[in-house]
Amino acid sequence: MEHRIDPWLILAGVAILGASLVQLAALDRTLGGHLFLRQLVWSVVGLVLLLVLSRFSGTILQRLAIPAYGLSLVLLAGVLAAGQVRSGTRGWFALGPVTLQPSEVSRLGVALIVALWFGRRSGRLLKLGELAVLSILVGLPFLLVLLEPDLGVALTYFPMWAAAAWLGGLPPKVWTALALSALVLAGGAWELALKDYQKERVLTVLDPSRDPFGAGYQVRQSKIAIGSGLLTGQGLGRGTQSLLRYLPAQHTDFIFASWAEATGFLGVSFLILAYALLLWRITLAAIRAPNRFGLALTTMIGAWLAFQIVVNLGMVVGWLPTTGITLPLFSYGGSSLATTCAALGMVIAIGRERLVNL
Amino acid sequence: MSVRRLRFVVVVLLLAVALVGARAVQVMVAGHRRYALLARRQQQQTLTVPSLRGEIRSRDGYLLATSVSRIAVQVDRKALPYPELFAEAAAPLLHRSPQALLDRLLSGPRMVWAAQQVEVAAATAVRRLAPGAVVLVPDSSRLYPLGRLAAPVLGFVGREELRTVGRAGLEHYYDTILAGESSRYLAVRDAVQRKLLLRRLKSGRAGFDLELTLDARLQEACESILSETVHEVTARSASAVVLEPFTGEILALASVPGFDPSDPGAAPRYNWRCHPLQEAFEPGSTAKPLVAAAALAAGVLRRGERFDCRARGILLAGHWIRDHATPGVYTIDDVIAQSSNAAMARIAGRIPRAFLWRALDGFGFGRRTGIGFPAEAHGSLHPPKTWSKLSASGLALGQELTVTPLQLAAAYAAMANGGWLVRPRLVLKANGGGIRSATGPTYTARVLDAGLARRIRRMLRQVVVEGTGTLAEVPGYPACGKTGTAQRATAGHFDDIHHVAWFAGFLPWDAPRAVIVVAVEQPVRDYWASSVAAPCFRRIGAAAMRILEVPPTGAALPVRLARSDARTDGGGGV
Repeated sequence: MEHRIDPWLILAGVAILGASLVQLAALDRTLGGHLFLRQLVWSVVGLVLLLVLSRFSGTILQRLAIPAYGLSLVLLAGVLAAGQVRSGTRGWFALGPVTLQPSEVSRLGVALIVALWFGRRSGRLLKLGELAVLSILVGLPFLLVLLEPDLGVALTYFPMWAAAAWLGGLPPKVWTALALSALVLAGGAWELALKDYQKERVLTVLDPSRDPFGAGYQVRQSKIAIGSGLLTGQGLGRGTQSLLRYLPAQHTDFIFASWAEATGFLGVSFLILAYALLLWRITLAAIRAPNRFGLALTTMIGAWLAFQIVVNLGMVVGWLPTTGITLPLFSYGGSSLATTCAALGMVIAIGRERLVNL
Repeated sequence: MSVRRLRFVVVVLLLAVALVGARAVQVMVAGHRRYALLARRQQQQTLTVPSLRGEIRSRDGYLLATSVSRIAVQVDRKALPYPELFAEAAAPLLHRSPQALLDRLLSGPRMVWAAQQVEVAAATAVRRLAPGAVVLVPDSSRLYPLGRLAAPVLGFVGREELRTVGRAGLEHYYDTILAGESSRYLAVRDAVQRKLLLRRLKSGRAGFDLELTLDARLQEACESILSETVHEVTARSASAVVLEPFTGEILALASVPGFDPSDPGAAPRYNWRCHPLQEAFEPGSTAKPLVAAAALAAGVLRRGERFDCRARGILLAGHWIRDHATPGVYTIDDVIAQSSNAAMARIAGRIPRAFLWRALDGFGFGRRTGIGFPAEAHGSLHPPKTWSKLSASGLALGQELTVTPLQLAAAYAAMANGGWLVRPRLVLKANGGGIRSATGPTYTARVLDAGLARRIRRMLRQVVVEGTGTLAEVPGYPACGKTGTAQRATAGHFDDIHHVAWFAGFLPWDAPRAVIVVAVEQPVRDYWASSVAAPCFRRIGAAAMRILEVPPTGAALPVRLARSDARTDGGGGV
């Protein structure tokens, strides 16, 4: 059965993208660097990708899974060897003026391969061996990203693993064991792996006044910006926190704060409603998916996007530590934008094959 | 199966998104007041730039204190790339040692003052060394062009940040008038503390100027005469007041030793005091004419009564009071001229206590003159109910009360001007300040009637002609006045070391132009008023007459002849 493209999903995506471009155009005057133009080009690329992928059938997507995953691993390994370093992270390929971030792009490969594997297995609950296979499929790229090192992006692989494990189903005993080992792992990571600045960020969430000019600075400035918005905001490009550069990373991680300051309660409501609509349409696509492959793929994409939204907004309002996770479709960043668009394209493609009369 | 699990995932994720969305709205709505305040506090700042302080001039047009524009040099330590090189280059321009400047640049807050009160040319040169780091702020410097002249009267200023604040003397008393109003600016700062916008919120107003009643030339003459006297007799300090008797304008107010008002810290604090109105001493015999006036007004003297002063003293209530006067039998006029303690003590005993107290109180003793000066001394005059048996005679000899030289000058001015107690004034006018109307009338009360004032003047003239004050006579300007040698109580009792030598008088005696009071504290080589204070009075009087351009009157009036009609004057009211 052929169905038409989901207009609501497109509408939500374009709304967020449009707001992002408006905000970046305003920030351009303060920050410079042609943010608007670059993001516009990437938006076009993203929308083309979205439309192309939305024409694909589920079968083609299944066939693409293995090559895509392979390419992802190659890219991740390659960037470790020959990538460009930005603020301590070796995570970018530079092709002239265009840069590509494999850690973002690889999420597609992971989503496809896990969905492919999920569609071919059977049985009510996952066996331990199957859980191991799932963990390896997600864990391999995860580890490569962690080596760059880019903890923020690596964390976005976790919701896909969790979604797949939850959908596959595990006995309660295993969940308990996993939760316990997660606690132990977290403790071990705290003692051994986390750097001092990362620990400081976590502690700052518990006590925001702990270090107002160090780790607490960003969140403090972000909250000031959000709190200064009022009903209609201070106007695009007029937000004083943005203009006077008190707000850090205001075009990437903290773009929501500068948007809130500029457009106020109305702008924030618009954005949150658009995200809600987007997630709801992805949910409908998942519920109506014709097969286990489609179900797993859309669920994983939805979980990944929701995770990013929650973690980013949680960080901006001071609930979660600053991790460098961006707001999908809204933050500046070409690879992330193109990847998100491609994912949405696949969701639409699955939606077009939906079961009638669910 | 999977669909049920899917629903769970959907519910959890949508709930999470709704939760953070709600939190964002909460920050916007509930936290608005708090966060908006935080934003304003870190983005905006109000700067206050003081205006130029007003000038102080003397009545003859000399500039006693003035302010000039200077620059305060502020350095942004974070924007200064090579502090060592900067310190090396800027130190000579700022008149500081390179090491001291470098110490200042290497620690402390981000913005530090490299120097204040720098001349404009030097400051611009320093700014050229590091345009990104050096901030020039308007500043000012207080100058005293005549140096130490009248320093205890003018006082001095201190600084609070860039604000100049009067700390002593007239600079302190008239601080609000001299200071003017500061300008205020709104500064908007970005995250690296650069000032992006400066807008004037309120434009300031320069301070008002003061014109003093002091005559700079006379002031200078007084100070140098007092300095010489202090040096000659090794005194601790000396004061002089020259008062215009009809208007209360103070022509000179000298206090020695003084200090340099541009560096007050170099002198001991004792020198900061303006002795003529901040120190009160016992007036000694200079109080006798005032008590004599009270006695005449009270009608307790018989016409032509003579007092036996041959005993070189008198026994009163078991105490022997010494008399330094030449032994003889004297009229009241002679008693004043010879300054006889024994006779004055007897006369004072006849005056009713309340009457005597009211007379002295009327002359303004025991309360401030209201001249408008910080920490003016009250002096002391105790009410009659606290008096002992000796008090009345003590007051007659100028004991048991203390007066400032200024109070004494005001009292003598009443005798000079025909009986009116004037309010002394130091400020002639303030440019827009309206000082004259604020201080009230020139005359406060009539304390002597005209005839009595004339009679006392004759007595005082006799002191100079043939009494203890012969050394006070100014050639060409017949003077009158009274000597007074007071003992100072130290550690609760009197001794023969701590004295105050007084001379209070005015000239010319029949048409007074200047009331002059001289007080020399703790003279060591010679402590008699007749030989220490009287010559001082003579020299100041001569200088005053010269500077005020008073034409000399010929010979002095024949005093003995004049006295015969004085007897017929009788008493008078107080």
